[in-house]
Amino acid sequence: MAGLELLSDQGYRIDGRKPDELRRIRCKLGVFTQADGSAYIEQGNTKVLAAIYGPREADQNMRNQICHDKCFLNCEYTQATFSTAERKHRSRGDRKGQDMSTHIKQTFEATIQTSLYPRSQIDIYLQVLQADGSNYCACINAASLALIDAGIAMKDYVCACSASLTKGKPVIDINHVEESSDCAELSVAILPKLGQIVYSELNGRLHANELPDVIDAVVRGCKDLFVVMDRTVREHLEETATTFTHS
Amino acid sequence: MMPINLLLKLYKLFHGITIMPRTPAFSKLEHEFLLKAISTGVRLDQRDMLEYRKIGISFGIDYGCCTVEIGETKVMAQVAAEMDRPRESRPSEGRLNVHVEMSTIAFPSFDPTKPGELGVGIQRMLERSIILSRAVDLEALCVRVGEKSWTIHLHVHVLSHDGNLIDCASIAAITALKHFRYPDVSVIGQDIVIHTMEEKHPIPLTVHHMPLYVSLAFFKGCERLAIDPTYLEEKVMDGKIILSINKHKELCSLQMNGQMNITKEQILRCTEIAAVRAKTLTELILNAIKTDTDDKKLGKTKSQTVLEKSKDNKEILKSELTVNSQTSEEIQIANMSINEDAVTDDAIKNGHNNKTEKPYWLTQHDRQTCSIGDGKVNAWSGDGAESSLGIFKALRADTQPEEKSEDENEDSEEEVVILDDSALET
Repeated sequence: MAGLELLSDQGYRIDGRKPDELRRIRCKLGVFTQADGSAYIEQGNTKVLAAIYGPREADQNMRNQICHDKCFLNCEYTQATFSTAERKHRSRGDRKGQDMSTHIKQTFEATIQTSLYPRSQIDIYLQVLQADGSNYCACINAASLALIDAGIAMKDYVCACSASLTKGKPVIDINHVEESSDCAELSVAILPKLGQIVYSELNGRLHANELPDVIDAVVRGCKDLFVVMDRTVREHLEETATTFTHS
Repeated sequence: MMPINLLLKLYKLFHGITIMPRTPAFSKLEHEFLLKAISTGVRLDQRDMLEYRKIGISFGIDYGCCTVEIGETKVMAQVAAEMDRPRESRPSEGRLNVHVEMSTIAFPSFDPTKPGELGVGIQRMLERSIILSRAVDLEALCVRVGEKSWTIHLHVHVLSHDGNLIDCASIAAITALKHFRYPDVSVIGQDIVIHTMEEKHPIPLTVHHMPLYVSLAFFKGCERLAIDPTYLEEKVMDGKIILSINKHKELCSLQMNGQMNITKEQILRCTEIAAVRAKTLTELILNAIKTDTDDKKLGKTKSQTVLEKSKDNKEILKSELTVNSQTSEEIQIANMSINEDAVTDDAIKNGHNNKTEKPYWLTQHDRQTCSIGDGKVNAWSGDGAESSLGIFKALRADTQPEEKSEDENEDSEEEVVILDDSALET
């Protein structure tokens, strides 16, 4: 939409946030009973479901990917037809979905301690129920929580956040309107305690001199997100622990 | 009559030998050797860690056809234009579509029917760096708002895979787009007239900036960094960071592949390295296009521009993160025209940085064939050195008086492409 100001003079964005403010985050672990691990996350209006199966014996048609010393990951990313403002049917193997699946798979291959599960397979299924910007980040966060729920060994949490640059100021956790404008969008997934970047993706044009500020902002956003995720995990753990002790 | 089990053994042995593996086998020993070499700063082809392989850009007869070679990796890009309806959501813009073809000639495990992860990856990356960053002006392609506009199809064919496909594909794509010309159009009232090449000069595309991909591979827990990885290096790497950057130091795309654990400083350093690299490549591309335009005016059908293995990293090594200009850079651009006799190995060797003395018992027949001892003469090409290059000639009747044809006896009135000269010689 032309003429729409992404950052007002008073420093407020379209949805009333400050540039370094995340959207409201709600997450829940253990939403499915059948899957080994599952999670649901809401980042503002973006809603994502994640389900994990594994580690388990490799599928028949994935036989050729078996490694003798580590497990391999299989990731499927799908977006529901009702997830965007315009109803759009997305087929299973379409390019964007495949691209996204590959990136998510690579992110987790770097995080999961694959050497502990030789000759097995871990499946990550992601379903976007409502897409309002930062799809990749929400998926990473959901999958991370689901993996913790499944009890799979990882080096650290994986927290992902997106950032953009408007009027020279970096803004984090961008929504759909900010995404579709002409600004650059940087998505980064980090291991918060180690402070290492496991994945980053930039779309749109950004000058190399502006890059350090944007990376700093997005890393700060990821660390804030980590606080929320950690609290959710600990609360969930307390709940399940109490049910065990009582039953 | 042999016993059955012996026959079975023989059969299994024979069967095992005749089945070719889809991907060449890669032993653990090779894996460890490569990693060990890289951790001491040595690469298999004796390059530096920040040195690129030799890059060659050649053009075909048509506008918009370009082949790029980086070492043994070869990618061809072809641009075509079609008049079509514009998109509903953007009625005043033309379209740009990217198609990537991965055929088995490039690599045994490529399947032409399924692009696979690599093919999809290349396509998405080209789309992001060219279309999303507005490198090509699509509004200029509109002929009549909402009804007619040009759709540009960019076809990228991967011809040979020896690592670093994305860099090669991006150079080929940008060069082809910059080289391409589409027919001129006149709108007279309700009619739209597309002029042929003869009536009016075709118009080049408006390319605002040239985003080029640079791949940097990380090894050994992301401690070692190498630019332009070959296929074997890609097999042993942890992952790579792929940046699309233009000569104005604007990042158009950034992506990490594989299992990476890096810090922000490493990303910034990669950006610096890539920026210097992109500048060199942009100059090379512009030079190549200029050479080709000049060559085409003289009637030569093909031209090739080569950048020898170049190190543009002296400034980078000195000061890590500050911006430097490339004053002390070695660019040797050797312009070669394939139709000339004069193309020999010397023209290529002159720029070679790491030239070692050949042993006395090694006979070099031509650029790609050598033998131990004197050996026999190569029966495929009669003369040896000269005729191994420049085999392809598209003969056009009278427009090329300056063309030095190798074989004076040839019948130059035939409109025939002769693939091998030796067949004509008695």
